[in-house]
Amino acid sequence: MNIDERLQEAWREAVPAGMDLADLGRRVTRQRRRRWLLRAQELVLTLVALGVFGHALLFGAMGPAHWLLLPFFAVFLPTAWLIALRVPRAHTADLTAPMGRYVELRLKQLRTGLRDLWLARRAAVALIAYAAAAFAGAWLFGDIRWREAAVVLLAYALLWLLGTMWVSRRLRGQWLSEYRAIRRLA
Amino acid sequence: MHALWPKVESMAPQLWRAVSGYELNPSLREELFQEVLLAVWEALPRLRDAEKLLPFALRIAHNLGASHVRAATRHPSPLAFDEAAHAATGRDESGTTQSQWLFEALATLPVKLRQPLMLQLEGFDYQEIAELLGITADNVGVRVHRARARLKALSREEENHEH
Repeated sequence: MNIDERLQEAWREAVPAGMDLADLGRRVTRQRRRRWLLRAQELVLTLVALGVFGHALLFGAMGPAHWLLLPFFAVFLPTAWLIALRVPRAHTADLTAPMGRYVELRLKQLRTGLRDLWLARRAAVALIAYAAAAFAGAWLFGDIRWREAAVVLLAYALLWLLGTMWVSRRLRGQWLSEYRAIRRLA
Repeated sequence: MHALWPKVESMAPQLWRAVSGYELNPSLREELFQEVLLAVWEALPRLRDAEKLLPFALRIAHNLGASHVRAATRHPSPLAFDEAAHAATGRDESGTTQSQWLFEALATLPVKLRQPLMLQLEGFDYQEIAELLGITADNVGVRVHRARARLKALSREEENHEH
């Protein structure tokens, strides 16, 4: 058997076995539902934060915790949306484009994603710097309410920094690898 | 559900082969297959000509495959090629299925050579492949020729090794 016949035969004999083809529609629906739930979760979190701060601002009930945590959410919300919404996921329109066009679009998306990750890391570092300054200020000049709020802020900022670094490290490696692979196709 | 979805389901073998050309690890391959199905589902309303459903779906599979290829190499396959997932019958003297050999050999090719060869094996001609990949038909010819030459060399090398 020559190589052409061997390739052709090998290609044709490879079909998915044990796969319930009638189930494909259900699997796609499940996956779409999962994505939708994730997006809904992000939306709810944003609305809760806006509600809490909006209410406090409107009714003049801003306490130390509000003032100190406001900058935290000012970093948290844009970053979460930046990563969640601008994540360089290939969109339907891009995927149906010919390979050359897809490569161009994908490179742009990945570059934007990598820049957003860089911004997220910088924002997390800025937040921890702010939290440390607020902590020192509250400890020197504030009463117990300010100190408690400053400790909470510092803890949140630290967790945020660790979380951002973890997510960023994981995604950055993945996107960089994809970027290099796609660039070779350009 | 889109009216063309049952047709997409009937194209599962073609989509599966395209995905298998990019990923050998069974669980990652399954993940990529799901991703392709979801993308095809979402893209169906953009399809103008129902006759071109197969090239349309395969273009999505290959675009996603090209994006996926590097991620796969970052996580080396912890499992052997999953023969049970392929309904392959032909075995050579070493017990390796033909399709197993082919997908492992394809994985050694750069994506630029792999894509046109996979599409040709699927039955597309040079012009159709050129349209799918956005390159010229001449370029397709060169790439397919190089890909075949590499696989031929690989096959010969293995034969020499066995003897």
